[in-house]
Amino acid sequence: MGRVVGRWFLTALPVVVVVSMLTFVLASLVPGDPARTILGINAPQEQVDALRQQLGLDLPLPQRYWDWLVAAAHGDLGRSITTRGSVAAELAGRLQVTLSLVVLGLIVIVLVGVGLGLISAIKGGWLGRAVDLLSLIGLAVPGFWLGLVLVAVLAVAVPIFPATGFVHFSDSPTGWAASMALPVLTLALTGTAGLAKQTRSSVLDELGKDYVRMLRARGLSERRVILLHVSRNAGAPIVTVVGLLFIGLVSGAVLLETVFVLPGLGSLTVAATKAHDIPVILGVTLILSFVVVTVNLLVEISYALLNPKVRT
Amino acid sequence: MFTIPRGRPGRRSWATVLALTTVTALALSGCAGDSDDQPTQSSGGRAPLLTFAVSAPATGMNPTTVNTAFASYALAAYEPLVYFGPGGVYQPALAESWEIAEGNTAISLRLRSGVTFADGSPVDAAAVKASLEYCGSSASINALALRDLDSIELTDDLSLTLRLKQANPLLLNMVSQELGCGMIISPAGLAQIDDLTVDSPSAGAGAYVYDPQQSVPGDTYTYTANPRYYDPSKQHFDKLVLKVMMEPQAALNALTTGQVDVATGSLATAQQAAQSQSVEMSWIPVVWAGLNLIDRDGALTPAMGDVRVRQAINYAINREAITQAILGDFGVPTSSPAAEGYDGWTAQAASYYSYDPTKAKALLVEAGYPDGFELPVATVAWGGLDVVTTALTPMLAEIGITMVVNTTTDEKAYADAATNRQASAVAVGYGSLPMFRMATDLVLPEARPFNGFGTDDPEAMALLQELRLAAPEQSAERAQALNTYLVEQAWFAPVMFTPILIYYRDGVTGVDLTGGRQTVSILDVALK
Repeated sequence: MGRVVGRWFLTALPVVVVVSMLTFVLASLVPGDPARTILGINAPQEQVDALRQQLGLDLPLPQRYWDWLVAAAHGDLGRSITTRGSVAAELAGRLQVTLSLVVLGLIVIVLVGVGLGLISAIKGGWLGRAVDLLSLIGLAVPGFWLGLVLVAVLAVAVPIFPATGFVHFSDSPTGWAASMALPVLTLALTGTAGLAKQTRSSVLDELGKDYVRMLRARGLSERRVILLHVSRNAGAPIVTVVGLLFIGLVSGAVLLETVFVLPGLGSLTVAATKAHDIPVILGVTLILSFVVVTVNLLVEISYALLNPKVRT
Repeated sequence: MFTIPRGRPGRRSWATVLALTTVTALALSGCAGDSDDQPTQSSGGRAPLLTFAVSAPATGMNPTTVNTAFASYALAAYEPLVYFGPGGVYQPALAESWEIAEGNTAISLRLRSGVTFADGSPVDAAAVKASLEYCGSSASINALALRDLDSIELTDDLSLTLRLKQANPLLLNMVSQELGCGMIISPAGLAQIDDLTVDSPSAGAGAYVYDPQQSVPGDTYTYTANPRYYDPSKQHFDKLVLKVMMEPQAALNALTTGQVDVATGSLATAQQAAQSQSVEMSWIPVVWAGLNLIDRDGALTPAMGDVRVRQAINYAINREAITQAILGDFGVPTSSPAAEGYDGWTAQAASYYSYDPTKAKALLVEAGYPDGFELPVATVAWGGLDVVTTALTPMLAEIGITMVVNTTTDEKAYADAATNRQASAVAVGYGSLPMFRMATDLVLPEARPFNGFGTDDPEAMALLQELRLAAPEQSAERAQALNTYLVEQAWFAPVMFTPILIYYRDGVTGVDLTGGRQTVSILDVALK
């Protein structure tokens, strides 16, 4: 276990730095000039140049990145080019919204997806075919579109849930639950079937192995065979999928936050990208990189717990 | 302990699941239409809340840096010297009266007495001078508004005179909220101007005060009524919330379900909004889309130096067909850059060029181009301008003009393409303005990027000079003369006016877009 964590520490930091550097380079290569965006299309070029100098945009790219990296290492993520507000302050408020959405979505997906997968593997028949069909639909239907449909049906036509907005849990637990209902449902509907299919496939693989036949021959009940042995061995690939799913959900949240007007990192990223606001883009990248590498660590720890061979 | 159920869930299990789901849904639905969000009229005459959905986040809380297309962010908290009000009428605000010098080279303002900023400091002539001087010298989108400002003289504590380097017939516009600089920042705000961001309270004398504690920059901007505001009768709400909704469908959904009271509309949802029973709509066709025929001296494409060729281009365009195809019922065909409601507009100029390919061909023959020519055109991949360019291509091809289109993707590339003399025409989307402002942007030889070849037309300059010096009662006539000249000389090939749309719920007033106002002023919005 210690080796797993140690390896993570050795790789996580370089990964985050490389990702932030790539993001900086790519964002800088995107056509457009933040100074021109701020001042408008008919501002004189001298004024644009003056603002570029004021914002440090006239410096060479390596120097700009290095300055940002050094400041970030000291906890200073700089100021937004467009709003001049603190990037760290802006990110802090938004991270919890995105994490609420993604974590809640993941919990629903894991509970329903693993449950459905197990049941369909054991029972087979129409349930198995239904899981296959649903996973295909889940993969094919864009979350953005599904979100709009759910709002049209469950918020506009039949006003059960709010169409947009976010309520903090501390302000109103029921309001928070209501505001998260449709976004989480959207994430769950697009992600559950895939996990269910993976679970079903993994469990069926395990059920066909010799050790299961041996356990049954020894007279163990089916429940014990599945719960104590099959589910444990089938767990490793499922955990991998859950890890990837989490990262996918973060990406999906970018568009969903715009549909449901949630003040998370996704909507911030969209606005910052439109405005060529590189400090904000880098801040979001940094935070999400940490989230992703942390999730990868959790996946590896789960592996180690599920499979003793990994611990050595 | 986790157990795997044997057999299928029984009827009782399903019933339990259904009941739990229903109870949860009902519990949550109690929150769907939270009554606290509804702006019911309070007994004191002021409603508790107005929620306004806007399509882009604030670019700051400094009125100098706020894009005036989203002026409400600043206007709520920063009172202007003069208020550009409903119907395009200028009203007293911080300035209770004004006098414009003959020749439009100076304006004297008399400030209200006893008015204070939200922090309690007095709004006096010195504070106004400092704010204007800061705005004019700042690196901001609105600094251009004061480029003609020469000096500011203080007559007494409450009187000041702004003198210009050259005449400007829109002096009142200059000191109103329309150009940003007219919204005055307090001395304390100016002293810490770099901190005047979305993370800090506003520093104006407006009807409301921006409250960062109740705001999430980029998502929700909250303002509370300013207790020191000089005219409480103009404060229609205890609290204003500007909610960013970048996705047009989300804004319409929020309005339909009562989560917001007013929303910026979009062409993508206009038809749906028009058919909705619960949504009212106000719209104004004001942003002209078409071609800017910049190579008027024929420097790159010699044919474009002949006015008959530019007129032929205008006659070749079937404006009605393009407008109907792209905008449906929400657009207006036009030959003129000045929209109805603005000083330069005349019905004759608006319909000056009918669709007449035969006449267009005849003009090309007359100009010596019977076989047509190649026309390099720069367009942009946003705002639907590339679609307009595509629609124009076969129409110009019909009279022998082959458009060679270069599509740009951002403001910088567009500005470069419009000024690097590689394109003889540039696609343009331009919100109509008072004629003097349009001429400043489009006609002056040094105007960039919209006069990319620097056309210097003595007749146009003479008409502009007349407009510059015109007394208020002559201004519209001079504006129309200039606009008519530009249309006749085919400086542009406008196709249509695209709309600005506002959606609002029943019972909301003050959202009409009239008299040359392209944005709803949040200070006018009220409840019946």
